[in-house]
Amino acid sequence: MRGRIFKLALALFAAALFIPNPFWRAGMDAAALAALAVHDAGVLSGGGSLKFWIFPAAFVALAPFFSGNMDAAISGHTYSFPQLASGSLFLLHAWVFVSLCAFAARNFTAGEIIAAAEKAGFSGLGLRAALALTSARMLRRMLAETWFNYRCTRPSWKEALFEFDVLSGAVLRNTAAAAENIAVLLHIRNVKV
Amino acid sequence: MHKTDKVRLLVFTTVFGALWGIVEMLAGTWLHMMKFPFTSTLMAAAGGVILCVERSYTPVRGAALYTGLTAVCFKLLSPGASSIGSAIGIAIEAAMAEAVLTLLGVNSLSFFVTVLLVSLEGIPHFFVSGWLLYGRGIFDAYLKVAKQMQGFFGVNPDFWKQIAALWVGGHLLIGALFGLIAVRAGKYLRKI
Repeated sequence: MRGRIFKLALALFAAALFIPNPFWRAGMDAAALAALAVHDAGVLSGGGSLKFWIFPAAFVALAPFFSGNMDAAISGHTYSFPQLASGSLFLLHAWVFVSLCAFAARNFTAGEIIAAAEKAGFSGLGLRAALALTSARMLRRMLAETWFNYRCTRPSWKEALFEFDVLSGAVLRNTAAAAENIAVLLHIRNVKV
Repeated sequence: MHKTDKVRLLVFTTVFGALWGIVEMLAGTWLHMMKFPFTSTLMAAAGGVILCVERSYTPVRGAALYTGLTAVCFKLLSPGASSIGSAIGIAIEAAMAEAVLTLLGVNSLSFFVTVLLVSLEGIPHFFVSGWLLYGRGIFDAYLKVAKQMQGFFGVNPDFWKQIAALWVGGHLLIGALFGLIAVRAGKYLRKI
Protein backbone atom coordinates (compact mmCIF):
# COMPACT_ATOMS: atom_id res chain seq x y z
CA MET A 1 0.00 0.00 0.00
CA ARG A 2 2.68 2.54 1.04
CA GLY A 3 4.71 1.54 -2.03
CA ARG A 4 1.77 2.29 -4.32
CA ILE A 5 1.05 5.60 -2.57
CA PHE A 6 4.70 6.60 -2.91
CA LYS A 7 4.77 5.66 -6.60
CA LEU A 8 1.53 7.61 -7.25
CA ALA A 9 2.84 10.71 -5.43
CA LEU A 10 6.17 10.41 -7.27
CA ALA A 11 4.39 10.17 -10.63
CA LEU A 12 2.26 13.25 -9.84
CA PHE A 13 5.37 15.15 -8.72
CA ALA A 14 7.21 14.19 -11.92
CA ALA A 15 4.23 15.16 -14.10
CA ALA A 16 4.05 18.56 -12.38
CA LEU A 17 7.64 19.22 -13.47
CA PHE A 18 6.66 19.13 -17.14
CA ILE A 19 3.11 20.51 -17.29
CA PRO A 20 3.03 24.19 -18.33
CA ASN A 21 -0.50 25.03 -17.09
CA PRO A 22 -0.16 26.40 -13.51
CA PHE A 23 -3.62 25.20 -12.42
CA TRP A 24 -2.90 21.62 -13.47
CA ARG A 25 0.51 21.87 -11.83
CA ALA A 26 -1.00 23.06 -8.55
CA GLY A 27 -3.64 20.32 -8.75
CA MET A 28 -1.03 17.60 -9.26
CA ASP A 29 1.16 18.83 -6.44
CA ALA A 30 -1.86 19.08 -4.13
CA ALA A 31 -2.97 15.57 -5.14
CA ALA A 32 0.53 14.25 -4.40
CA LEU A 33 0.46 15.82 -0.93
CA ALA A 34 -3.03 14.43 -0.30
CA ALA A 35 -1.92 10.94 -1.36
CA LEU A 36 1.06 11.04 1.02
CA ALA A 37 -1.09 12.42 3.86
CA VAL A 38 -3.58 9.55 3.49
CA HIS A 39 -0.95 7.09 4.70
CA ASP A 40 1.24 9.30 6.91
CA ALA A 41 0.02 12.83 7.65
CA GLY A 42 3.18 13.50 9.69
CA VAL A 43 5.29 13.79 6.54
CA LEU A 44 3.60 17.09 5.67
CA SER A 45 5.35 18.76 8.60
CA GLY A 46 8.40 16.53 8.63
CA GLY A 47 10.54 17.94 5.83
CA GLY A 48 13.06 20.75 5.67
CA SER A 49 14.50 22.97 8.38
CA LEU A 50 13.66 26.65 8.93
CA LYS A 51 16.90 27.55 7.13
CA PHE A 52 15.73 25.50 4.14
CA TRP A 53 12.42 27.39 3.86
CA ILE A 54 13.43 30.93 4.76
CA PHE A 55 15.10 31.95 1.46
CA PRO A 56 12.37 30.65 -0.89
CA ALA A 57 9.63 32.05 1.37
CA ALA A 58 11.31 35.47 1.44
CA PHE A 59 11.78 35.35 -2.36
CA VAL A 60 8.12 34.48 -2.95
CA ALA A 61 6.89 37.17 -0.53
CA LEU A 62 9.22 39.94 -1.81
CA ALA A 63 9.28 39.21 -5.58
CA PRO A 64 5.78 40.78 -6.09
CA PHE A 65 7.26 44.16 -5.10
CA PHE A 66 9.51 43.97 -8.16
CA SER A 67 7.70 42.01 -10.88
CA GLY A 68 4.25 41.00 -12.13
CA ASN A 69 1.04 42.98 -12.73
CA MET A 70 0.88 45.47 -9.89
CA ASP A 71 -2.70 45.28 -8.66
CA ALA A 72 -2.36 46.32 -5.03
CA ALA A 73 -0.35 48.51 -2.68
CA ILE A 74 1.34 47.59 0.62
CA SER A 75 2.66 50.43 2.80
CA GLY A 76 2.69 52.72 -0.21
CA HIS A 77 4.58 50.24 -2.44
CA THR A 78 2.94 48.56 -5.43
CA TYR A 79 2.45 44.82 -5.06
CA SER A 80 1.46 42.02 -7.44
CA PHE A 81 -0.86 39.37 -6.02
CA PRO A 82 -0.82 37.30 -9.27
CA GLN A 83 2.98 37.13 -8.86
CA LEU A 84 2.53 36.01 -5.23
CA ALA A 85 0.12 33.27 -6.37
CA SER A 86 2.56 32.10 -9.05
CA GLY A 87 5.43 32.16 -6.52
CA SER A 88 3.39 30.13 -4.05
CA LEU A 89 3.35 27.34 -6.64
CA PHE A 90 7.14 27.05 -6.27
CA LEU A 91 6.74 26.63 -2.51
CA LEU A 92 3.99 24.04 -3.02
CA HIS A 93 6.27 22.05 -5.32
CA ALA A 94 9.14 22.25 -2.83
CA TRP A 95 6.75 21.04 -0.12
CA VAL A 96 5.91 17.97 -2.23
CA PHE A 97 9.64 17.33 -2.77
CA VAL A 98 10.54 17.40 0.94
CA SER A 99 7.39 15.44 1.85
CA LEU A 100 8.33 12.70 -0.64
CA CYS A 101 11.79 12.50 0.94
CA ALA A 102 10.29 12.44 4.44
CA PHE A 103 7.80 9.74 3.38
CA ALA A 104 10.58 7.53 2.01
CA ALA A 105 12.69 8.04 5.14
CA ARG A 106 9.81 7.34 7.57
CA ASN A 107 8.06 4.48 5.81
CA PHE A 108 10.72 2.36 4.15
CA THR A 109 13.69 0.55 5.62
CA ALA A 110 17.08 0.58 3.92
CA GLY A 111 16.56 -3.11 3.05
CA GLU A 112 13.24 -2.38 1.32
CA ILE A 113 14.77 0.49 -0.68
CA ILE A 114 17.66 -1.74 -1.77
CA ALA A 115 15.26 -4.54 -2.75
CA ALA A 116 13.14 -2.09 -4.78
CA ALA A 117 16.24 -0.67 -6.48
CA GLU A 118 17.44 -4.18 -7.35
CA LYS A 119 14.02 -4.91 -8.86
CA ALA A 120 14.29 -1.70 -10.87
CA GLY A 121 17.53 -2.91 -12.47
CA PHE A 122 20.29 -1.86 -10.06
CA SER A 123 21.55 -5.40 -9.64
CA GLY A 124 24.12 -6.11 -6.94
CA LEU A 125 23.03 -3.10 -4.90
CA GLY A 126 22.60 -5.21 -1.75
CA LEU A 127 26.14 -6.57 -2.02
CA ARG A 128 27.38 -3.07 -2.83
CA ALA A 129 25.65 -1.61 0.27
CA ALA A 130 27.06 -4.30 2.55
CA LEU A 131 30.51 -3.83 1.05
CA ALA A 132 30.29 -0.06 1.39
CA LEU A 133 29.41 -0.31 5.09
CA THR A 134 32.23 -2.78 5.77
CA SER A 135 34.81 -0.82 3.81
CA ALA A 136 33.68 2.45 5.42
CA ARG A 137 34.82 1.20 8.83
CA MET A 138 38.19 0.21 7.38
CA LEU A 139 38.53 3.50 5.51
CA ARG A 140 37.69 5.62 8.55
CA ARG A 141 40.43 3.91 10.54
CA MET A 142 42.82 4.27 7.62
CA LEU A 143 41.98 7.98 7.18
CA ALA A 144 42.49 8.67 10.90
CA GLU A 145 45.83 6.86 10.89
CA THR A 146 47.07 8.54 7.69
CA TRP A 147 46.01 11.97 8.96
CA PHE A 148 47.75 11.32 12.32
CA ASN A 149 51.02 10.30 10.64
CA TYR A 150 50.80 13.19 8.19
CA ARG A 151 50.32 15.75 10.96
CA CYS A 152 53.06 14.18 13.12
CA THR A 153 55.59 14.71 10.34
CA ARG A 154 54.17 18.15 9.40
CA PRO A 155 53.28 19.92 12.63
CA SER A 156 52.71 23.38 11.11
CA TRP A 157 49.46 24.04 9.22
CA LYS A 158 51.39 25.81 6.44
CA GLU A 159 53.48 22.71 5.76
CA ALA A 160 50.42 20.47 5.98
CA LEU A 161 48.54 22.62 3.47
CA PHE A 162 51.39 22.94 0.94
CA GLU A 163 52.07 19.19 0.91
CA PHE A 164 48.41 18.28 0.59
CA ASP A 165 49.12 16.26 -2.56
CA VAL A 166 51.26 13.87 -0.46
CA LEU A 167 48.28 13.26 1.86
CA SER A 168 45.96 12.78 -1.14
CA GLY A 169 48.36 10.30 -2.73
CA ALA A 170 48.72 8.33 0.51
CA VAL A 171 44.94 8.19 1.09
CA LEU A 172 44.25 7.11 -2.49
CA ARG A 173 47.03 4.49 -2.43
CA ASN A 174 45.76 3.05 0.87
CA THR A 175 42.18 2.99 -0.44
CA ALA A 176 43.31 1.17 -3.58
CA ALA A 177 45.24 -1.33 -1.43
CA ALA A 178 42.14 -1.97 0.70
CA ALA A 179 40.02 -2.44 -2.44
CA GLU A 180 42.60 -4.81 -3.92
CA ASN A 181 42.54 -6.94 -0.74
CA ILE A 182 38.73 -7.12 -0.73
CA ALA A 183 38.66 -8.00 -4.46
CA VAL A 184 41.13 -10.84 -3.91
CA LEU A 185 39.09 -12.09 -0.94
CA LEU A 186 35.83 -12.07 -2.94
CA HIS A 187 37.59 -13.82 -5.83
CA ILE A 188 39.05 -16.54 -3.57
CA ARG A 189 35.67 -17.06 -1.90
CA ASN A 190 34.06 -17.26 -5.37
CA VAL A 191 31.41 -14.67 -4.53
CA LYS A 192 28.97 -14.23 -7.44
CA VAL A 193 28.49 -10.65 -8.65
CA MET B 1 33.55 -8.98 -19.03
CA HIS B 2 35.67 -11.55 -17.19
CA LYS B 3 34.55 -12.52 -13.68
CA THR B 4 37.73 -11.08 -12.12
CA ASP B 5 37.09 -7.75 -13.83
CA LYS B 6 33.47 -7.80 -12.63
CA VAL B 7 34.63 -8.30 -9.03
CA ARG B 8 37.24 -5.54 -9.39
CA LEU B 9 34.65 -3.15 -10.87
CA LEU B 10 32.21 -3.82 -8.02
CA VAL B 11 34.82 -3.59 -5.26
CA PHE B 12 36.84 -0.61 -6.50
CA THR B 13 33.82 1.53 -7.36
CA THR B 14 32.22 0.71 -4.00
CA VAL B 15 35.33 1.30 -1.90
CA PHE B 16 36.23 4.55 -3.68
CA GLY B 17 32.57 5.63 -3.46
CA ALA B 18 32.68 4.93 0.26
CA LEU B 19 35.87 7.01 0.51
CA TRP B 20 34.15 9.90 -1.28
CA GLY B 21 31.12 9.56 1.02
CA ILE B 22 33.32 9.60 4.13
CA VAL B 23 35.31 12.61 2.89
CA GLU B 24 32.01 14.42 2.21
CA MET B 25 30.68 13.47 5.64
CA LEU B 26 33.83 14.43 7.58
CA ALA B 27 35.59 17.21 5.67
CA GLY B 28 32.41 18.53 4.02
CA THR B 29 30.51 18.81 7.29
CA TRP B 30 33.51 20.41 9.02
CA LEU B 31 34.08 22.97 6.24
CA HIS B 32 30.35 23.80 6.13
CA MET B 33 30.35 24.31 9.90
CA MET B 34 33.40 26.59 9.65
CA LYS B 35 31.56 28.55 6.91
CA PHE B 36 34.66 28.07 4.75
CA PRO B 37 34.33 29.83 1.37
CA PHE B 38 33.90 27.63 -1.74
CA THR B 39 33.26 24.54 0.42
CA SER B 40 31.08 22.83 -2.19
CA THR B 41 33.69 23.51 -4.90
CA LEU B 42 36.45 22.04 -2.73
CA MET B 43 34.34 18.95 -2.08
CA ALA B 44 33.41 18.66 -5.77
CA ALA B 45 37.07 18.91 -6.78
CA ALA B 46 38.06 16.30 -4.16
CA GLY B 47 35.33 14.06 -5.56
CA GLY B 48 36.73 14.61 -9.05
CA VAL B 49 40.19 13.45 -7.91
CA ILE B 50 38.68 10.29 -6.36
CA LEU B 51 36.69 9.56 -9.55
CA CYS B 52 39.76 9.97 -11.76
CA VAL B 53 41.99 7.74 -9.62
CA GLU B 54 39.27 5.10 -9.35
CA ARG B 55 38.88 5.10 -13.15
CA SER B 56 42.60 4.41 -13.56
CA TYR B 57 42.09 1.12 -11.66
CA THR B 58 38.91 0.07 -13.50
CA PRO B 59 38.94 1.68 -16.95
CA VAL B 60 35.38 0.58 -17.72
CA ARG B 61 32.47 2.68 -18.95
CA GLY B 62 30.07 3.48 -16.08
CA ALA B 63 32.68 3.13 -13.30
CA ALA B 64 32.38 6.80 -12.31
CA LEU B 65 28.58 6.47 -12.14
CA TYR B 66 28.82 3.42 -9.85
CA THR B 67 31.29 5.27 -7.62
CA GLY B 68 28.92 8.25 -7.49
CA LEU B 69 25.98 5.96 -6.65
CA THR B 70 27.81 4.64 -3.58
CA ALA B 71 28.74 8.18 -2.48
CA VAL B 72 25.10 9.29 -2.93
CA CYS B 73 23.94 6.42 -0.69
CA PHE B 74 26.43 7.59 1.93
CA LYS B 75 25.31 11.19 1.72
CA LEU B 76 21.68 10.17 2.12
CA LEU B 77 22.55 8.49 5.43
CA SER B 78 22.83 11.97 6.98
CA PRO B 79 19.26 13.28 7.38
CA GLY B 80 17.95 16.68 6.25
CA ALA B 81 17.18 18.44 2.98
CA SER B 82 20.70 19.85 2.65
CA SER B 83 22.11 16.34 2.25
CA ILE B 84 19.62 15.73 -0.57
CA GLY B 85 21.05 18.78 -2.33
CA SER B 86 24.56 17.39 -1.87
CA ALA B 87 23.41 13.98 -3.12
CA ILE B 88 22.08 15.63 -6.30
CA GLY B 89 25.43 17.40 -6.60
CA ILE B 90 27.39 14.15 -6.28
CA ALA B 91 25.21 12.52 -8.95
CA ILE B 92 25.82 15.43 -11.34
CA GLU B 93 29.59 15.35 -10.65
CA ALA B 94 29.69 11.61 -11.33
CA ALA B 95 27.78 12.07 -14.60
CA MET B 96 30.13 14.87 -15.72
CA ALA B 97 33.24 12.84 -14.82
CA GLU B 98 31.83 9.79 -16.59
CA ALA B 99 31.23 11.81 -19.77
CA VAL B 100 34.76 13.30 -19.83
CA LEU B 101 36.58 10.09 -18.87
CA THR B 102 34.63 8.08 -21.45
CA LEU B 103 35.34 10.69 -24.12
CA LEU B 104 39.04 11.35 -23.40
CA GLY B 105 40.11 8.03 -21.83
CA VAL B 106 42.41 7.62 -18.82
CA ASN B 107 45.36 10.01 -19.08
CA SER B 108 46.79 13.12 -17.43
CA LEU B 109 44.85 15.49 -19.70
CA SER B 110 41.50 13.80 -19.01
CA PHE B 111 42.21 13.86 -15.25
CA PHE B 112 42.91 17.59 -15.34
CA VAL B 113 39.88 18.38 -17.53
CA THR B 114 37.59 16.17 -15.42
CA VAL B 115 38.51 17.84 -12.13
CA LEU B 116 38.34 21.30 -13.73
CA LEU B 117 34.84 20.65 -15.09
CA VAL B 118 33.62 18.89 -11.96
CA SER B 119 34.63 21.94 -9.90
CA LEU B 120 32.12 23.93 -11.99
CA GLU B 121 29.40 21.48 -10.94
CA GLY B 122 27.59 24.37 -9.20
CA ILE B 123 26.24 25.56 -12.57
CA PRO B 124 24.30 22.41 -13.60
CA HIS B 125 23.53 21.79 -9.90
CA PHE B 126 21.80 25.18 -9.63
CA PHE B 127 19.61 24.45 -12.66
CA VAL B 128 18.83 20.80 -11.89
CA SER B 129 18.07 21.26 -8.18
CA GLY B 130 16.16 24.51 -8.80
CA TRP B 131 13.97 22.80 -11.40
CA LEU B 132 13.42 19.68 -9.27
CA LEU B 133 12.72 21.58 -6.07
CA TYR B 134 10.64 24.52 -7.29
CA GLY B 135 9.35 23.25 -10.63
CA ARG B 136 8.85 25.00 -13.97
CA GLY B 137 9.23 28.74 -14.30
CA ILE B 138 11.52 29.35 -11.33
CA PHE B 139 14.36 30.64 -13.51
CA ASP B 140 12.02 33.06 -15.37
CA ALA B 141 10.96 34.38 -11.97
CA TYR B 142 14.61 34.79 -10.88
CA LEU B 143 15.47 36.65 -14.10
CA LYS B 144 12.44 38.96 -13.89
CA VAL B 145 13.17 39.89 -10.29
CA ALA B 146 16.90 40.34 -10.98
CA LYS B 147 16.16 42.67 -13.91
CA GLN B 148 13.67 44.72 -11.91
CA MET B 149 16.06 44.94 -8.96
CA GLN B 150 18.88 46.10 -11.24
CA GLY B 151 16.66 48.94 -12.41
CA PHE B 152 15.38 49.68 -8.89
CA PHE B 153 18.86 49.95 -7.33
CA GLY B 154 20.40 51.55 -10.45
CA VAL B 155 23.00 48.78 -10.84
CA ASN B 156 25.03 48.54 -14.07
CA PRO B 157 23.31 45.95 -16.36
CA ASP B 158 26.68 44.22 -16.86
CA PHE B 159 27.30 43.91 -13.12
CA TRP B 160 26.13 40.28 -13.12
CA LYS B 161 28.85 39.45 -15.67
CA GLN B 162 31.54 40.65 -13.24
CA ILE B 163 30.01 38.61 -10.43
CA ALA B 164 29.77 35.55 -12.70
CA ALA B 165 33.39 35.99 -13.84
CA LEU B 166 34.57 36.17 -10.21
CA TRP B 167 32.53 33.09 -9.32
CA VAL B 168 33.74 31.06 -12.30
CA GLY B 169 37.34 32.26 -11.75
CA GLY B 170 37.36 31.11 -8.11
CA HIS B 171 35.92 27.73 -9.10
CA LEU B 172 38.40 27.27 -11.95
CA LEU B 173 41.34 28.12 -9.68
CA ILE B 174 40.30 25.44 -7.17
CA GLY B 175 39.59 23.03 -10.04
CA ALA B 176 43.03 23.64 -11.55
CA LEU B 177 44.79 23.05 -8.20
CA PHE B 178 42.93 19.81 -7.59
CA GLY B 179 43.38 18.87 -11.25
CA LEU B 180 47.15 19.03 -10.75
CA ILE B 181 46.78 16.88 -7.63
CA ALA B 182 44.80 14.33 -9.69
CA VAL B 183 47.49 14.31 -12.41
CA ARG B 184 50.31 13.88 -9.85
CA ALA B 185 48.39 11.22 -7.90
CA GLY B 186 47.62 9.36 -11.13
CA LYS B 187 51.28 9.34 -12.16
CA TYR B 188 52.41 8.30 -8.68
CA LEU B 189 49.89 5.46 -8.43
CA ARG B 190 50.77 4.17 -11.91
CA LYS B 191 54.42 3.95 -10.83
CA ILE B 192 53.83 1.79 -7.71
